[in-house]
Amino acid sequence: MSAALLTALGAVLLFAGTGIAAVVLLARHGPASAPSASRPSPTNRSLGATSARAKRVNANGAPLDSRPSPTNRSLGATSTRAKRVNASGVARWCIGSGGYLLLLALVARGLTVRGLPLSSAYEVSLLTAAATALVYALGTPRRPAALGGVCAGSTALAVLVLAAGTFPAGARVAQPPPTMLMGIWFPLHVIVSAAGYGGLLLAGSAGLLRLLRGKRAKSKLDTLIAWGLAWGYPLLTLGMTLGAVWGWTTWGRYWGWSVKEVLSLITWGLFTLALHTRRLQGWKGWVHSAVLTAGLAAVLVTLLGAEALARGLGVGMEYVF
Amino acid sequence: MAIPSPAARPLHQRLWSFLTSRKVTAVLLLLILLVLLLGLVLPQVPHDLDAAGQAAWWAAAHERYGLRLDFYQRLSLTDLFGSALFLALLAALLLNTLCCTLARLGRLWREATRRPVLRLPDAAHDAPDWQAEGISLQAARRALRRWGWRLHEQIGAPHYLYSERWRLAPLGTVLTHLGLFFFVLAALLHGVLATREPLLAAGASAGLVLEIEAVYDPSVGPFVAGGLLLSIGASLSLFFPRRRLWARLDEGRLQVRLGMEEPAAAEEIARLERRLAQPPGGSG
Repeated sequence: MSAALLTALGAVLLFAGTGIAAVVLLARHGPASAPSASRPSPTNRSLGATSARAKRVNANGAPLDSRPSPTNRSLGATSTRAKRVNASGVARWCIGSGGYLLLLALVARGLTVRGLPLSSAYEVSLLTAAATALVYALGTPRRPAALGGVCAGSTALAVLVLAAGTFPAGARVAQPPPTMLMGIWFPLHVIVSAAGYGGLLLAGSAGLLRLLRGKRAKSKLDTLIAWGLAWGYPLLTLGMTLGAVWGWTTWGRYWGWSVKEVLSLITWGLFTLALHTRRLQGWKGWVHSAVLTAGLAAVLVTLLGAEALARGLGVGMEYVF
Repeated sequence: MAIPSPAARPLHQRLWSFLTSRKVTAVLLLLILLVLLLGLVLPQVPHDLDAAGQAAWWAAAHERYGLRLDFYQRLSLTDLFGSALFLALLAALLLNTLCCTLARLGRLWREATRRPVLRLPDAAHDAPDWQAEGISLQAARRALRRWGWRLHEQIGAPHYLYSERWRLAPLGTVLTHLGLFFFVLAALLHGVLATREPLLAAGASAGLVLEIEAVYDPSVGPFVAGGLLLSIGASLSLFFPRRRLWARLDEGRLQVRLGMEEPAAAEEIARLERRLAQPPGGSG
C-alpha cells in the first residue's frame, strides 16, 4: 500500500474521530442532558472538596444517591451514558488508528528510499501529527475523552492539512537522507522532538479552547493541559539536547541562533512560562490560556513555517526540521 | 500575631522575596521571549563567518534593508543574542533560578523525607472526596496494593489507612531547576568565553582548501548536563507527582481523602473504583 494512501486513510480516521468526539461533546452540553453539565467532574475531588461532592456507591458500584456519577458510567449503569462512553471510545480508537496509519505511511516512505524517512519537514510533520494522535489515544486518561478527541484530532488533522498545503508536491516526495542527517543523533533528535511536539500540541489546543470557552469545562481542559505538558515538555527538552549534541558532532557547535533554533527556543520558553503561570495567582486564568495558545502557534510555525520565515527574512537555514 | 505588611519587612527579606518570586521568573521569561522574537525578525550578524564572510553579509543586508539596517545597528539590534541586555537577562534568570531552588530545597526535602501523618482528624473523613459502601478491609488493601501504593495502617475500629506513591518525586522540581540553571549557565559561558577560529589552511595553491577550525566552548558540558537534568526532573515532577491517600474504614464504609495533583486524582479514583468493583479473587 502506498504511503500517500496510508496518509489519506489516516487523515480520514482523524477526521472521523474528531467528528464523533465533537458530536459527543455537543450532545453532552445540549439541553437534553443539562443536569450532567453540573455533575462534578472527577478532578473536582481534590483535598478541598466538600461532602456534597462525595458520592455513595455499594460494593457492586450501584449508586446510593440519585445523582449521576462517573462510577455509573464506568460500570455501565445507564444505557444513555454507556452509549456516550462508547462513542467517545470509538472517537479515541479512530484517532489512535489514524496515528498508527500515519506511522505506517512513514514506514512505507522509508522502505521506498531505503533509509530513515525523516529527511524533510513534511515527514517530520507526519510524525508530529501521528505523535499528537497517539499521545491522546495512549497517553492521556480515559476522561475527558470527547474533549481530548476534539483537541488532539483537530490539531493532528490541522498539522496534516497545513503540511500538505505548505510544502509543494516536490517537497513531499520521499528522498534518501543526505549524509549530514546520517548517524544516531539526528534521528533520535527528530523522533524525541516530534513526540514532544505531539504532547505540546495537545496542551496548546486545550489552552486555545480554554481561552475561547472561558470557565466552561475548565477542569477537564486543565487535565488535558497537564497531561499534554507532562508528555511534551520533558521530551522537547530532551529532543533539544539531542539536537545540540547532533549540532556539535556535525558543525562543531551546539547552538547557532538559526531561525529554526530560535523558533524552537521560543516554543520551549513559552511552555516553560506556561508551567510557571498555571499555578501563579493572577496569571493562571486567561494569561495561562494565552501563553498556551501562543505555544501552539509557535509549534506550528516551528514545524511548518520556519523555512518560509527564513526565506522571507533573507537568511539561510542549514536544516529545516 | 499580626503578619507584617511587605513594606514593613527588612530590606534583605524583601530582596529575598523578590529574588525567589515566581512572578519575577515569569516576567524574566517574557522579556527573554521578547528579545528572542526581536532577534528572529531583525537581521542578526552571524558570528561563525570569517571577516570576508561578515563583510559580504553586511553588504547583502545593506542592499536588503537599506537605511533601516543603520537604524537597527545604532540601537544595537543587529547582535541581540550577544548583547549585554540579553546576557543580563540570562544572568537575572540564572540568579532567580538559583534562589528559587535554594528557597524550596529545605521544604521539598522535608516534605519528601518526613514521617507521614497516618491519620487525619475524623472531621476530614466525614467530608470525603470519595466513599463506597460494603467494602472489606482485604478488598481495600488489595485495591491499593494492586497499583503500587505503600500502605500504612492504624488497626482498630474504625480502621485507618494511609497510602502513598512516589514519595521522592517532589525532589524532581529541584532537578528541573538545576537543569535550567546549567542551561542558562552554559548560555552565559558560551556568550562570554566561547571562541572559534581557523587553525590551518593548506593546499590553496593546488586548488584545494582544507580549513580546520579550533572550537573552544566551555559550556558544552553544562548544556548537555542541564538538558538531561531538566528532562529527568520535569518527567518526575509532571508524570509522577507525590500521591497520598487517607482512608477510614468503618463497618464496611470506606471514606477516602486525597492529597495529590488533580489530573492524577481522577485517574487514581477511577482505578480504585474499578478495582473495588471487581469481585474478590478477580484479577486485573
